[in-house]
Amino acid sequence: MKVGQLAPERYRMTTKVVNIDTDILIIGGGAAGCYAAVEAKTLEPGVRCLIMEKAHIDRSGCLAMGLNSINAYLHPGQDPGSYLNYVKKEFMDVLREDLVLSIAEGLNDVVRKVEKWGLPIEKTNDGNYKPRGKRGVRVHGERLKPILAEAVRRSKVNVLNRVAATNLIVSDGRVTGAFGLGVRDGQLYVVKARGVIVAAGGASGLYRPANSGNGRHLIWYCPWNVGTGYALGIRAGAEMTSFENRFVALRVKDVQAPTGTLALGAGAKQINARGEPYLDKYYADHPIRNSSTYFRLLTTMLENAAGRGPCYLDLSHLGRGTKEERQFKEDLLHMSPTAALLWAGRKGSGGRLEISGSEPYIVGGHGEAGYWIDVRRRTSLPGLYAAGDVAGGAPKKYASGSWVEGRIAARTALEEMGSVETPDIDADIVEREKERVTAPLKRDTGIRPQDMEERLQKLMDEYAGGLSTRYELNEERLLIARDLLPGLRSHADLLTAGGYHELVSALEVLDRIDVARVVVEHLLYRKETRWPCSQSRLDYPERDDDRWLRFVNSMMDTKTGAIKIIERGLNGNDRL
Amino acid sequence: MVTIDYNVCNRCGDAKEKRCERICPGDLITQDEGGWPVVRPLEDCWACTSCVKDCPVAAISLRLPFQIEQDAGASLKASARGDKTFWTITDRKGEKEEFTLEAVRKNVS
Ligand SMILES: Cc1cc2nc3c(=O)[nH]c(=O)nc-3n(C[C@H](O)[C@H](O)[C@H](O)COP(=O)(O)OP(=O)(O)OC[C@H]3O[C@@H](n4cnc5c(N)ncnc54)[C@H](O)[C@@H]3O)c2cc1C
Ligand code: SF4
Ligand code: SF4
Repeated sequence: MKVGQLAPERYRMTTKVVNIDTDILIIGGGAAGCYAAVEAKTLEPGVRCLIMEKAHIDRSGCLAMGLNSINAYLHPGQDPGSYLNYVKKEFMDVLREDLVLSIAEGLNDVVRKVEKWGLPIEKTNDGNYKPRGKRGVRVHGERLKPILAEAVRRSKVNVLNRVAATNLIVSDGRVTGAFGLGVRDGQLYVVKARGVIVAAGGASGLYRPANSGNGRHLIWYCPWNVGTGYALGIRAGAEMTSFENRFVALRVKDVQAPTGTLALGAGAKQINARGEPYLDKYYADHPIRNSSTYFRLLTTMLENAAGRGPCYLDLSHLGRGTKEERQFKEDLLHMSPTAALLWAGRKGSGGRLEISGSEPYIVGGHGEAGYWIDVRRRTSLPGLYAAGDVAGGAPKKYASGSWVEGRIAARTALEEMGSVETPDIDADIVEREKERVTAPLKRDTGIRPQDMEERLQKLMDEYAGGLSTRYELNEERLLIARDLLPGLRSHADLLTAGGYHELVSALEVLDRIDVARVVVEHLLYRKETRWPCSQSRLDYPERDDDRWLRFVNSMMDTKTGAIKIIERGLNGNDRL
Repeated sequence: MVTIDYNVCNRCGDAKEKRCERICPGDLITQDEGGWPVVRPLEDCWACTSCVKDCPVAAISLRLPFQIEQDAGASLKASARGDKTFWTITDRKGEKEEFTLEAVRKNVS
């Protein structure tokens, strides 16, 4: 066989079960998970703390490429109150003030901590961090993930790399552990824990991506955060919030790189095809002008619809070969290497880069979809805590806010596990999960995970407001999506996988469908348009504060699989 | 999209798990029967450069897929060593530009 060609995978169908007992189990060793683990070991060095990570913590999740800015930080003159006001304006008042405040209060601490762990941060002459935009900090973050992983190792946290969580273990209503599949060895890990922190990130891959073929994973959000973090809770009956608040990003077209590096870092202006800056024109009287994230995307869509597209970020003032242009490229290398390639190719040669909206994601760290939690990061399931992109109600937390949430979740888990004794896990439950996760390997023919993934992405794109319908939604289309998804899910028993790598994809596509079902229920329920592009209802185009200044939450019935909607007030407690 | 140059790759000596295989966040890199690294399937690459930076002999490079860059596009190599990361961008005209970027602070605590 030629070098670089693979023989068909020869897997052994191991049925080996590995039992592990720990105090705190952290699912997902990304930003929130790594911080939570170090916090737990710092507060109680004797505690047994285990990270279950599907990839390798050195380069996993959103931070694998690195960052050039910590987006949430309080510079001199700002305080938690001013931070809250900003996020409130951005998210049209529907958010959990208690959660956002608790994040804001911790931001500066955690950033200083991560600097101590090794993150290079630029300083001004007076010793303060150099701002990037109003609330960002300029960092040299290419190695951020390995730096977090090193802190985890120094703290003597146990790490199970290459093990993907597949389901929670629930005994008498309490979460007492989780199942994990060894993605390389096919073993089933059964982890018993006195407290479980879920920090497995948000969901990409629910909608048809902007590129196909060899470009299909040139997406903004991490392609391997597939929504399992949410699906674990959804299937266990946890309460979820705001799944209608999808996150649609304004990004550098084709490579989907964040635009902050261009706009905030390099001072680029948004211009249309005629070279006209267009933000100011709309700013005069547009109702959402004070929500800059939505405003920048929506106005770009409007320019395109008016025949003045494509739109660009104009970097011509940087010139070529200048100090500023080199600085710009350095920033790109720390976070968006593909954008550096674009810039060095023909598309960048005109001194501007095209921008467009991404496909929608579900991400609680940029938007606010996720677990419904209290201020101590407890979910509605006893024994389960949530932090980072999986946690809802607190948008714009980004990396530093995820660290704060990891810290809070670790503290709460430690405090609450005091008296908890984990019961032995029922052999039946283990047997059933073993059956479920290995079933696709046993089928020689059937539906390939990739096909099911593309089917899901197509129907979500067409009926639940993807790129092809400019994110727009209406009841009739959503009802078709609602109708199709359970049928697609029921084909789980036809999924086939030729090896462990494909087996993981098979389980993940089911997780994605579970998340997609919740997304569609939420989109159907909120009968107004609050967050343009994220949630634009053609049939209810106005924002309606009298009726909808509230949360749309949901819970799946663990027996029937039916999704029940719950309305809650903004203070986080009232059930309406 | 990554390309592994098999004339440069040394299979990480005899290491059972190759460096690129160890690091890929999508678990995309595996080995063929001769122990050579293979990306499966290439379409799933996120272009995160984790493998590019970790390869000890700089055998892996990154470019944009043809679908996006139809002309001779730019390519990129990188190497993460000690507290610095060394980058080389080769632009569409074949000109190289090098960057040495601080990646980890000294005096970590
Ligand atoms: C491209 C990009 C650029 C960004 N830029 C910035 C920026 O400039 N500034 C900023 O502040 N923020 C930025 N963010 C946001 C920031 O990275 C996230 O908010 C933060 O990483 C969220 O932390 P998290 O721990 O929830 O998720 P992650 O850091 O993604 O961690 C989730 C972890 O869970 C693991 N996992 C997933 N599924 C499973 C499973 N089934 N079992 C076990 N483990 C699992 C993943 O592999 C991963 O390690 C960016 C995000 C992206 C995607
Ligand atoms: S660039 Fe990233 S995603 Fe692509 S093969 Fe290398 S490590 Fe994997
Ligand atoms: S890390 Fe580099 S040398 Fe090692 S196997 Fe991969 S490509 Fe070859």
